[in-house]
Amino acid sequence: MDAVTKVQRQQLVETVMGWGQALAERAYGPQGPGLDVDLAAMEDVAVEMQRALLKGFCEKATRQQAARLPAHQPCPTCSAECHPAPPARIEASGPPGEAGRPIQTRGGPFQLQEPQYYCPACRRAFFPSALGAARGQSRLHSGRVGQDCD
Amino acid sequence: MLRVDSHGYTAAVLDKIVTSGGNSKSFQSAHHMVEKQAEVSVSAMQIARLTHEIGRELVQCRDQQAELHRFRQLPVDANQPPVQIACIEADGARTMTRASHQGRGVHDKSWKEPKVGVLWRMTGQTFESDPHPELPGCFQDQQYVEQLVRELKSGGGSASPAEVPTAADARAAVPAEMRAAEPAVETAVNDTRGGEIAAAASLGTAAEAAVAAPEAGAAAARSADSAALKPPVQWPPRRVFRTCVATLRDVHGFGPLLAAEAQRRGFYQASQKVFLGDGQTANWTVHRLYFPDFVPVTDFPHVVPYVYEPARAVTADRPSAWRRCQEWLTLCWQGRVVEVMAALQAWQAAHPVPPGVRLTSLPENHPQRVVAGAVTYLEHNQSRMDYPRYRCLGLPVTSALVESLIKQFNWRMKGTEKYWNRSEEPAISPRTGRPIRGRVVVDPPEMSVESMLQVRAALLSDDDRLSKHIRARPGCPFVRRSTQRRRAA
Repeated sequence: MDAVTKVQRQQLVETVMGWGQALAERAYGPQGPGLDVDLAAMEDVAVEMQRALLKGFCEKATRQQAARLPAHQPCPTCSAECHPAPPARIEASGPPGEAGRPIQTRGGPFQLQEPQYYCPACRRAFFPSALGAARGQSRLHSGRVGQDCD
Repeated sequence: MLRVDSHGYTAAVLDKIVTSGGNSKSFQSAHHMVEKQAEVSVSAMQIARLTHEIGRELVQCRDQQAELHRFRQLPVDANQPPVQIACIEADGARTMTRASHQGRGVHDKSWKEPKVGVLWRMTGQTFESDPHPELPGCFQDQQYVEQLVRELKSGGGSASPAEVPTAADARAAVPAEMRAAEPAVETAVNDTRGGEIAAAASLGTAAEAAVAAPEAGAAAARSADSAALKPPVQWPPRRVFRTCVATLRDVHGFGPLLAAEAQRRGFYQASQKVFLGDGQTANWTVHRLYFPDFVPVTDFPHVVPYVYEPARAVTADRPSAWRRCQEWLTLCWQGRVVEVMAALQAWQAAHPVPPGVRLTSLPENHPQRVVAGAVTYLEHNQSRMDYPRYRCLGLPVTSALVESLIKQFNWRMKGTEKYWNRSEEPAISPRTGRPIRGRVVVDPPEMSVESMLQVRAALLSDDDRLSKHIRARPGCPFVRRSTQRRRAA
């Protein structure tokens, strides 16, 4: 699946809504919350679950996306074919060829496990998952600002 | 791909942080705002860094666009709708700067005037005859006019720099009646009732003016009565869409940026084109070099002091002076500036400067000096003061829109003990040792005024360019070593 269509998105929303109802029952029992529970307290619990949902969703999706990367990647600097970084090259703990770092999203942080490659010529590791631009393009946006504006 | 950079924020979170940094009064207040609204914990210093980083990228994009336009390679954006009235207004803001790369503290502080230009796409109608020949009610209100004159003149007066109000500050003091001639600034962009509201505001203010100012009461009441008999004519054009440009560079650096933005938005292909500014020479230099086929219009409220003060100077008592001021203001509004100049020149002929006395040696409020200054101003601007023709063409006659925009810039940029690093210094010619016009040495420090101006301009433009830019950033394939070390620890 490359992108989530509008229909699929609507179906997913309905599924999650069902989970929400199930979770409410699980949190407060089949009788529901007591009369001393106010809306703010319910919201706090729901937001916490929303954050957990987002964390799980992003971690899974990014990990699966990373698994689709080819075994060899061109170095962003010298364009030489590079292999995943050996474990010794990775300072953070994690599976071989992967490094984790926290990413802040609208719904809280999640741990991004991204594949790390190493260029022996440049003696530098890089993360192909961040490469939105063509090789050699600076990290600055080179397109025109404000297009499609009116 | 993920397009994440080394900072560890998603594009949406980065957008929230930078928007907050650009829209809050300070980075400290942005920090509280982000923590409260977005529930993201990020320090004030980090918000400042991110805001300026995005600002620097916007500067780079803007300059690329200007460079393309310079080589005639910048096409009109295909998504731009056809422009009926292309309105460009230019003016200067005020901000306090300090030298960059000098360590902590304020070094070599100085006031600077960032140039601000606003590009409005407007719609409107044309008229066979002047749709509003009467002087608007606000200019018949003595209190309003006196306050306007005081505030406009104090901009270059002896007030301390911290208290120096700009023309924008002055304009915003009593803007209600300006809405009779200009669409209301507060009116929603798509509010089709703008003209009606403006007309209603005009009538209301005229009636109030009759109560507030007894001298102007009769005239205002007459104006209100005559307006009540006729259906209000919606002559001011309606604003549709705006983008803005701001820079600390001189006019030769500012002009290409404004021209590139106008080109991108298809302003040169518009049916009607207008360029508004106050009497400042710099504005008309930009007009002459980059917008020669735009109709140049001198902002009417800036003319008021040059009519009010000579009227006071040449008339003995105050009521007579006010009557004469009204007469001359009406003549200017009706495009008969030559008659005002003739009256002033006749007075000059009757009251020559004594032989051996230089005009500049006279006090600033000396009648002969005041009249000479007014004659010079009117002479320089008379070709841009054909207001009835502009109204017939359905064009605006005041630069109120850029003045209010400047207030929005100043709100963020100006404040007590608020200094921005000068990011660009004029390039010095190695041969002559003098600054080269329009050329700058780019020196990208943090907290630079240029990057902050870009963020502010992006936030004040209707095209949501800040969010679009952040979402289109390609990301960075490298992570700083310090980040890795911190994570490992």
